[in-house]
Amino acid sequence: MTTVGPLPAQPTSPREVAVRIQAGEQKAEVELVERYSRGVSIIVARIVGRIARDSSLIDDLCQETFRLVLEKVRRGELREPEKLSGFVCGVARNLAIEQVRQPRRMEPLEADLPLPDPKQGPLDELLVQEQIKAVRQVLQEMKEPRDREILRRFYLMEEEKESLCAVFAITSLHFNRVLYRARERFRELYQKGRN
Amino acid sequence: MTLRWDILLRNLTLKTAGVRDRETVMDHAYIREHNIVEEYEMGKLSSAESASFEEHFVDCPECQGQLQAAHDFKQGLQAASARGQLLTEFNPSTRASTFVWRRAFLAAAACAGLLFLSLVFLVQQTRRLNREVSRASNDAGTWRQRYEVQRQANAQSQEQVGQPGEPGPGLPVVAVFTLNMTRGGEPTDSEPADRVALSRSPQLVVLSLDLGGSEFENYRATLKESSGQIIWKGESLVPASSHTLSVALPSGFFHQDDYSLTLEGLTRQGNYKAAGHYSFRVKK
Repeated sequence: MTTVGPLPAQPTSPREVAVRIQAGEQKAEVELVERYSRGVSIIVARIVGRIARDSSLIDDLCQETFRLVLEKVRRGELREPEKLSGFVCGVARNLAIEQVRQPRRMEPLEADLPLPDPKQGPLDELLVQEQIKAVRQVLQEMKEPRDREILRRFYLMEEEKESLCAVFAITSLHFNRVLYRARERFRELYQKGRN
Repeated sequence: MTLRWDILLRNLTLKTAGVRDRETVMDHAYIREHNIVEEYEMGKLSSAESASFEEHFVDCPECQGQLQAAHDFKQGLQAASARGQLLTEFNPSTRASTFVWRRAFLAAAACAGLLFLSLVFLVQQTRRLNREVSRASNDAGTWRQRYEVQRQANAQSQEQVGQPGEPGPGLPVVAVFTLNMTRGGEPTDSEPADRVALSRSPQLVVLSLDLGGSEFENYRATLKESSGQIIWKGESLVPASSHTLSVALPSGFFHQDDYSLTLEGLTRQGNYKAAGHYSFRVKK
């Protein structure tokens, strides 16, 4: 499972991947892991992110997810192969939720003591600085102060979209456009800075 | 029959799917339209919507990239805010007042515009009123001049009329004489038909003219001396009573002479037509 082979040129459907795994094809298992690893990582991180002290917990949960998924698919427990994506998500979600519900029982008493934040390393700090730089540039490039205020109140104050639309007298479409443009511009700048 | 079952099953499926549309059907258009990426990142989707979106993005590198960007953006924003590095962009003092100032500026601009328009209006009104005042002042001067002339004329008349022992202007002495129309109503060279005896003291002479059956709404009269010189003309004379027209003249008009008075009536066509002729001799 740790060996990663070349992916097929043509993207295969989830159903095809599941059928090939059921047929015992090792290459399909690698393909499944490659295909879903990033998404599973996002799902798991979103659920356990608050309790995860470092990325090892997320990696463990991802690995456990793929182990369970492959076992069940091999055994033919996935009755509708075309729903492979939903199945993978479900397994990942359940594992993460279970982890959130039972973390403290498994941790030593010392876990309650404050530990150094793993994100305070030099590399992480560099990344955060890059993020801040990109964020500031995005904000400075925005011509409308109103749009900046929308971002602030949505992301920092966590206000609801509907109330913001009402306050600023804008449509839902306009609101979405503000966020979408900011995010895409940030992505562009951040990627550029990291590269 | 098979076809009918298919239709029923499909309808049932569609109805069920309709309820769960947002839960089950997620494509890029829908995700973008409903801002699903940010809503998911902020944890604002329902559990069903989250599951549906996860089922989509777990196999979608594009959405994964957008999710990562949204996450990084939010993280960068929070970090910058926490470190006070957004003072320029989100300075609370300026931020809160940005919209207030903008609104205040717009309001001030509107007020200034209104004030300017009001000033222009006031200036125009003032100029117009000044012009009217100037015109009225000129008119007043003219009227004052006319009044003065009239007053002097009146004083002169009073001086002529006022004699010692005579009643004042408020109580004029009136002498009434009835004049008969000459035969045929035409001027003749014969002896005047009527005699008018006037005292030497000033008085108002009223000539009561017999209209002899002519019925015009108004008349004009011409008074001539024996030499043929016209000494008086009156227009728009309206009969005081039926068949009688009165003409009042100061006795100063007359001296001992024969006079002829021609009366013309105004027709409906606007022309004057001979209505009568009167001759009388004045003796003082």
